[in-house]
Amino acid sequence: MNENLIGYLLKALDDDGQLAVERHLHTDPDAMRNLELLRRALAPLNADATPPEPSPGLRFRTLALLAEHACRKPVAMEPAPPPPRTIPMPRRWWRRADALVAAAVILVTLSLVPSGIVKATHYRDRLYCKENLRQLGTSLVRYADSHEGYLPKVDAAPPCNFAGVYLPILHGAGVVAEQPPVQCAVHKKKPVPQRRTLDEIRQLTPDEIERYLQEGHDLYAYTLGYHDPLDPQRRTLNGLRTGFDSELIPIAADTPPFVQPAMGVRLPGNSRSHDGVGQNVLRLGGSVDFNTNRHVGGTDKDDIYLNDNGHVAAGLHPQDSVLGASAARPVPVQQISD
Amino acid sequence: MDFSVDLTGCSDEDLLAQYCKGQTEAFGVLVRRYERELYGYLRRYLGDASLAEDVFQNTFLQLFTKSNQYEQGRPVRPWLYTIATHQAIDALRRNGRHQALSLNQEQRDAGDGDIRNLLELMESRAPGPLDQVQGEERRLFVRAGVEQLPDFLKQVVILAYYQGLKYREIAEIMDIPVGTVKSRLHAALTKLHEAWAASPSLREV
Repeated sequence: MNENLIGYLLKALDDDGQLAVERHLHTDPDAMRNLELLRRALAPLNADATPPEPSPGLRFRTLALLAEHACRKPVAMEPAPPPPRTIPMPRRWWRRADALVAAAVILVTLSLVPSGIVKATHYRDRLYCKENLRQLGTSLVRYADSHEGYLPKVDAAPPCNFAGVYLPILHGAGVVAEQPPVQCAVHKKKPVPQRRTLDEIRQLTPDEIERYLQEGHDLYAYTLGYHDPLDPQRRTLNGLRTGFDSELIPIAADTPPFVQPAMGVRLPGNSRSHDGVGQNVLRLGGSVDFNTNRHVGGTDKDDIYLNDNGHVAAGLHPQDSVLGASAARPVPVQQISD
Repeated sequence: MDFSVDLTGCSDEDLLAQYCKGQTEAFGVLVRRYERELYGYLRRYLGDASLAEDVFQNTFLQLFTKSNQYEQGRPVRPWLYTIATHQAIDALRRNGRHQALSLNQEQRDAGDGDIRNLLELMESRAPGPLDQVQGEERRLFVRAGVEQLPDFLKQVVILAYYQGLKYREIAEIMDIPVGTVKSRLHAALTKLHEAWAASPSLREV
């Protein structure tokens, strides 16, 4: 009967087995003592009782896989295709079979998940964007690991005083692939700027830098850092640091609805990457969340696209998170009359 | 064909039966129902989130393709776990991480000394490193101990304790007698407590 005591505690026995153990416990004091010993043996496992969470959208990806399987299977059973045409088709045209299969996949997926076509597409884009930001977060942390915890920093002065400078810094450190995931899925048809290191950027002429900035117009917004709170002149700019700054501080996000608004003009609205519904935000701790309003910065819920003075400039203190569009140049402190 | 059944209240068996009759939405409800539970099992067993997701998807792909073999009334949950476990073992083999069961272990499984060993261990157990840690550190300590168990012991701990399956369901999933499920669970707990007592600190785990 002892071998059934753990099963009794876990309710892993059949009903008859549970009853049999209960009757035994009432009649055998040794059995009760053993039951307590075994309860103590199981107790530590409860420390890890919270189940691991799947990544968002796992079931949608699974259903899409099933739909693709369902759609492709009949194609494989068709007779061999006709011989290839002598004049090759332009590569930008889908073959009719691909278009039909893709349409069928969407239709079958939707039949498995009763939701609107537009909703499914938006959700899918948001998920891919989240995944891109997570990967960017991994690259940033890899960089920080070999730079005393500091993330790539936007310079206060030209020529590298633009938010998108994180990309050439990461390229130079060798922590991103040739085509890194630095833009939202909705912009995937737009090219990523040509690979350049920081030293190469510094050699460019002002016009060349402007062209480089325009190429990277749709990259993820990036942190502009913050002024040292101990410096009343605000001349010292701090970059964010892992293990030092709050893990809730946003460090990257979908591009804002503006690059550089006129001084003193606070433009409202969410990123346009997801039709103005909201923006994905990557935080220093590595988490990515989708927010329907942009007042989600750090611990004080400030505007993530403007500093406390309403400027696209470095934050006024560590909790004042500011993410600039990749082409944005933070307003220098000398130009701000507070 | 009447598709007016409210699927969310259906049992797993009814969902699969409805799917076999042509109501494709029923399969989506099944995937949604098991998303957290089955992923949680695979994540604990495989120790890798990405691998767990791959196996999760392959499991439902297998169920999807084998649904025409489903016998009405057959319990779905243990069948799903059986498919998932086989897929997980295949994945571990492909990654070179699966530990094949030795002949000695198969013979040892038949013994009943495991519960006596466990009871003796718990009677004589003194406070150890596990008793000195709390919260997240304790969780990591416990998880590390489970992850370091041999596969055949880890499986039974996860299925019995964390997934809450019955002994006979575990026996069906692992294709072993119920008695072997019990003795492996006892052996697993003994090993865990020995490992936790022997680790001077979390760093050692």
